[in-house]
Amino acid sequence: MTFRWRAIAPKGNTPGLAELAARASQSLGYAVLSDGRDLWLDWACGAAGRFGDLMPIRDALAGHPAFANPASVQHHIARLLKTGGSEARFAVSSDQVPEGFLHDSSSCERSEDGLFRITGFAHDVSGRGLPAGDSRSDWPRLAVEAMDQAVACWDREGRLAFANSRFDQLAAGLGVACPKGRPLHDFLAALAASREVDLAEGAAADWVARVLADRTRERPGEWLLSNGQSVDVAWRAMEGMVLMTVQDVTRARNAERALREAKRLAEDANDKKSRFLSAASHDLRQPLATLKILVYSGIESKSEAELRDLVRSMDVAVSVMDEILGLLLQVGQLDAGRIAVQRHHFQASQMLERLRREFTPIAEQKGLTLRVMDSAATLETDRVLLERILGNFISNAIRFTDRGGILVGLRNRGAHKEIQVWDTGCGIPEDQHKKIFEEFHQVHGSPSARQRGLGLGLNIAQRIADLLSHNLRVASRLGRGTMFSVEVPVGNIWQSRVGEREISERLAGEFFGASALVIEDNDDFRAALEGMLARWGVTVLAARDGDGAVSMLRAQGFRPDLILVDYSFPNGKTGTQILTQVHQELGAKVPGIVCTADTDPELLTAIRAGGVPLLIKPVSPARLRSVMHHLLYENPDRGIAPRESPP
Amino acid sequence: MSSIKIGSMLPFRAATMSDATEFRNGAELAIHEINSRGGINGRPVSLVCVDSGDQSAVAVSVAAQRLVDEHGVHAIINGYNMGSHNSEYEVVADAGLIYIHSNTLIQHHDTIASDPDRYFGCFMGNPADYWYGQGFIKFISWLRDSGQWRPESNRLAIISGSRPYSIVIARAMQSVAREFGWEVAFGPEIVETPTRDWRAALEKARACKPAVLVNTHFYASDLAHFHKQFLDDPFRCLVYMQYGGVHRSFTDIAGDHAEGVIVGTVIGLLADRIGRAFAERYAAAFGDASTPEVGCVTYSAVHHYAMAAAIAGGTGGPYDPAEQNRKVAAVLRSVPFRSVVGTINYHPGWQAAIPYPDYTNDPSLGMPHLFYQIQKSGQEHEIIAPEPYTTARFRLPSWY
Repeated sequence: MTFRWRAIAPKGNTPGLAELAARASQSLGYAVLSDGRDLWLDWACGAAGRFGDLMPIRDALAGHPAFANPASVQHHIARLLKTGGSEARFAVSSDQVPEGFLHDSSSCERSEDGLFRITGFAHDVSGRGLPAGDSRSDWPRLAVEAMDQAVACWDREGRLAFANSRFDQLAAGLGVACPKGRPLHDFLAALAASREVDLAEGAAADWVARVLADRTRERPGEWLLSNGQSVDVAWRAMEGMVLMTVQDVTRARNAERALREAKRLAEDANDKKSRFLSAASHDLRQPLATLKILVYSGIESKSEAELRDLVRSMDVAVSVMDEILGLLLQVGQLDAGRIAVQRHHFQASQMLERLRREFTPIAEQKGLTLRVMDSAATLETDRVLLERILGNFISNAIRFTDRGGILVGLRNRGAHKEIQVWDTGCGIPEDQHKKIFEEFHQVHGSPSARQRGLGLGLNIAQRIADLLSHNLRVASRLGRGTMFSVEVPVGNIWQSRVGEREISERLAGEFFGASALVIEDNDDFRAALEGMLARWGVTVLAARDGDGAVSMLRAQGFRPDLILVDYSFPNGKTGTQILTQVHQELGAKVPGIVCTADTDPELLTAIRAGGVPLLIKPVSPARLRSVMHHLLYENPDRGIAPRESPP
Repeated sequence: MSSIKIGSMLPFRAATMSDATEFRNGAELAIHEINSRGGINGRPVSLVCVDSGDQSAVAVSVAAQRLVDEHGVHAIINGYNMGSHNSEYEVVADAGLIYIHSNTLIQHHDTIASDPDRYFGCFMGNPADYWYGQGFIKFISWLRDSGQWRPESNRLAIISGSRPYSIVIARAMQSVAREFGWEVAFGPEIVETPTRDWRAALEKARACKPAVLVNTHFYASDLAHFHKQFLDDPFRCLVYMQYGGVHRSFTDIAGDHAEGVIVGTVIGLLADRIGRAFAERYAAAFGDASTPEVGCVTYSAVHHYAMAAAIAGGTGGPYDPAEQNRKVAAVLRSVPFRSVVGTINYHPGWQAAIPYPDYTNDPSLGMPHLFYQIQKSGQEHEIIAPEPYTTARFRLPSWY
C-alpha cells in the first residue's frame, strides 16, 4: 500500500517542529494539523485508490503501530526540514503487521507565510525480501537501494518478488502500483493503458507482447515515456528469476539527438556551400573569360572607336562579376546568421526614391521604362533589408524584360501594404512559381546565359522575407509579364523616422540653403569661417583674394546671397574695393560684410560710411548671425550698420 | 542665510509683454513653492527680473551682464529671447552659471556643439524650432490617414514671420512635406514681423487653394489679426498657427472666430491631474485672466533647477572657483524631471529637451509636442494630439 501524506508545520522555530516529529513518530501519524487539538491523516491508496477522507490517526491505524527506531524517524524529518527532501526506510510494527517496513520519500517547502509544507509518499515495503537489519549484514539491501537504476526481480511465475525504492518511485510516478506478487504482464498492461508510455493508438497489446519477449530473450529495450523521459530497460535471468533494471537515459538521448541534428545541419550547409561555390565559380568564370578576351583585344586594337567599344564591353563584364559578388556577400551573411534585423517606422517615399534612382539608368540602358509610384505610406520593417528584396525583384524584372517597362507601387491590404513590382517580360510558367525561390533555380526556357544569372536573387529575397516575417507573392502570365510582391506592415506615422538623427542647423537652420562667398587671405580664418558657415547650413565658396573670387564665380556659376570679405589684402586692395569688383562681376549689389582686425577709429568710420556692415575680428558667432539675419531677412536696403557688441 | 538668486531676462515690450509677464509669474510661483518647502538645501530662493528690451543681441547680453555683476545670480531662468543669436551665452559661460531658457532655436544645438565644456551650463528647456516642422507634417498626415479629415488636396501654403524661429520652422516643414505626400504650393513666404497686416500674403496663399494654411509667426496679437483677415474671405482649409495661438490674448482678440484653429507648441501645459492642479494654483495666484499655459514654462524649469541643485549639494555664484554649477549641470543632464509640461529630459549632446513623439517614442522620456484645437466657441484649447495627452478629438473648423 502506498499512501500520500501531508503536514503543515506551524510558524515558529525548531522546537515546535521537533514536537511535531515526536508526535508523528509516536503515533505513526503523518498528520495535517487542524485546530491543534487533534492530528489528522490524509491518505491515498495507490493508483487504484482515490484520495481518502481526513480521519484521525487513531481511527485509521488500529493498534497504534510504532516505529522500531523513533530516532531514525526524527532524523528523517529533521533532514527533510533542513534540506528540503529526504528518503528513509523504517521498521514498523502493529497488531496487524508485526514486522513491516515503510519506505518514505518526502519533500518540504517553506511557504511565504512561514509555514513548512511537507508532502510525502510512504510505501509499505514489508515482505520485499530484503529485511532490515544492522548495517553489517544489511549490505545487499543497502547496495540495491544505492543503485541509480530502478531494480525489480520477477519470479518464475512472472510475479514481482522484490523491488528497490527507485522502482517503487518510478511505478508510483507513472501512477501504476506494483506491489509484491503483481504479475509482470498485468503491470505492463496497466502501464500501457495508463498512456504513460508513448505508444501509437492501438499499439498497447503489441508493446506488452514485445516487452515480454524482450524479457524472455534478455533483450534490452528503450521506452519513451509520455513526459519526455527515455529509459533503457534491461533483463537478466538468474537462477530462475529475471532481474529487470530501468535506467533513465533521457539526457544522453537528448544529447544524441542534438548532435545528429547539428551534424545534419552542418552537412546540409556544407552541401549548400559546395553547390554554391561550384555555381558561383562557374558563373564568375564566364565574365572573367570574356574580360580576358576583351583585354587582349584591347591590347591589339588600333582604333580609338574600337577601343571605346571594348572598354564598354569590359564594363558590362565587370558589372556582371560585381553582381555575382554582391550576391555572394548576401548569401554569406544570411548563412552566417550575421544579419541583424532592425525594424523602425519610416516613409515608403524615401525608399522608393532610392530604388528609382538606383535602377532607372539600368532600365533605360536596356530601353525599358521604370515607373515608381509615389506613396505617402508609413511602413514598419527593416528598411535596408526590404530594399534588398525589392532590389532583387526589380533587377530580375529588368533581366527578364526585353520590351516595355517595370512598374513599382503600393496597394492597401488592411494593416499591411503590398509593394508590387510588375514587368512586361516573358513570364514564368505556373509550375515554376514555387521553385523559383529555391537556390540556384534557373527558369526553364530563359534563353540566354546572361538572363539566367546565378539563380540566387529570389532565394535571397525569400530568406530575407522569412527573417522579416513578410509574405512574398508571385503572379505571372507567359508572354505577358510577372508581378512579384512583398507585404509589409503599416507603420505608425508618429514614429516615422525622418531624415537625419543629427539635429543641427546643417539640417534646417535659419540660414539653411543660403550661399555665401568668403574672401579672406588668412588661411586659418578662412577655413574656420567656412566651417562655421557650413555648420549653419550655408553653401560656401571661399577665395584668397578678389581676383581668385571672380575666377571661381565665373568657373562655377556661383551666385552668393551674401559676401564676407576681409578688409586688408597683401596686394594693397581693400575689402570694399573687392566688394565692388565682385558686384560688377555678378551684376548685382549682393549684401556684404567686412571683417577686419584693424581698430583704427578713422578707418572704421570710413568703412561704415560706405554703408557696409562691419565686424571686428575675432568675429563673434552671435554677432555674425545677427548681421546675417538682418541682411538676409530684414530689409537689407536699410544699409544696416550694427553697433559693436560688448567684448 | 542669504538667498539663492535666480535671474530672469524678460522682454517687457508691447508685443511680448503678455508672455514676459507670464514667464515671471511662473518663476515666482515655483520659487514660492520651493521656499515653502524649505528652499534649496535650506536656503531660500529669490527672483531678480531685468528687462531684455527688444531681445536683440546687445539688449540680452547687457541684461545678462547686469544679472551677473549687479545681482550675483546663481542661475538665469527665463522664457524666450528670440533675437539674441545666443550672444548671452558668452556672459553665462564666462561666469560659469546655469542658464535655462526657452528660445526654441536650433541655433542652440550648434552653439553647444561648438564647445560643450565652455557652454556646460546653457540649457534649452524645450525642444528646438526644427521639431515643429516634421511634427506638424506628421500631425496633418495622421489626421488624413486616420480618416478624421479628408483634405481637398495635398497642397500646403506656408507663411513665415521674419524671426529665425519662424523661418526655421517653415523650412523644416517644407523639407519633409513631400515624404508624407504633401506639396508646398505656396511659400515659405517670409513676411517682415511684427506686423498686423497679412492681406497680401493671404491673397497669394488663397490663389493656390491649399488644404492647409500655415503661419509660423508667433506673436499672439499678430496672429489674431492674421486670423481675422483670413476670416474676411475664408477658404476650405485647416488653419495652423504657431505657438502664439495658445495665448489668452489670441482668443481675446479673435473671439468666437478662433474656433477651429489648430495651434502647435513644443512646450505646453498638460490637461492631466498635475497640470490642472497647477492651473488652479496659478489662477488663484495671478487671476483668471492669466495664462498658465505660458507660465508653465518657467515654472517647470525653476523646479527642475531646484531639484538638480539640491541633488548636487547646492549652487554656485558667478565665477565660483569650486565650479559647483558643473555638478548642477550634470544632474540636469542626467535626471529627467516630470513637470506640468511633461518630461524635461535633456539630450546629452544638445542640452535641449527631447521631444515626444518627434524624437522619442517613450512619453516618459520626452516633452510632448502638443497640438491644440480651439473649440467651444473659442473658449477652450483642447489637446487633440498626441496620445496619451488628448482631451478631445479633432473637429472640422467652423469656416469649412
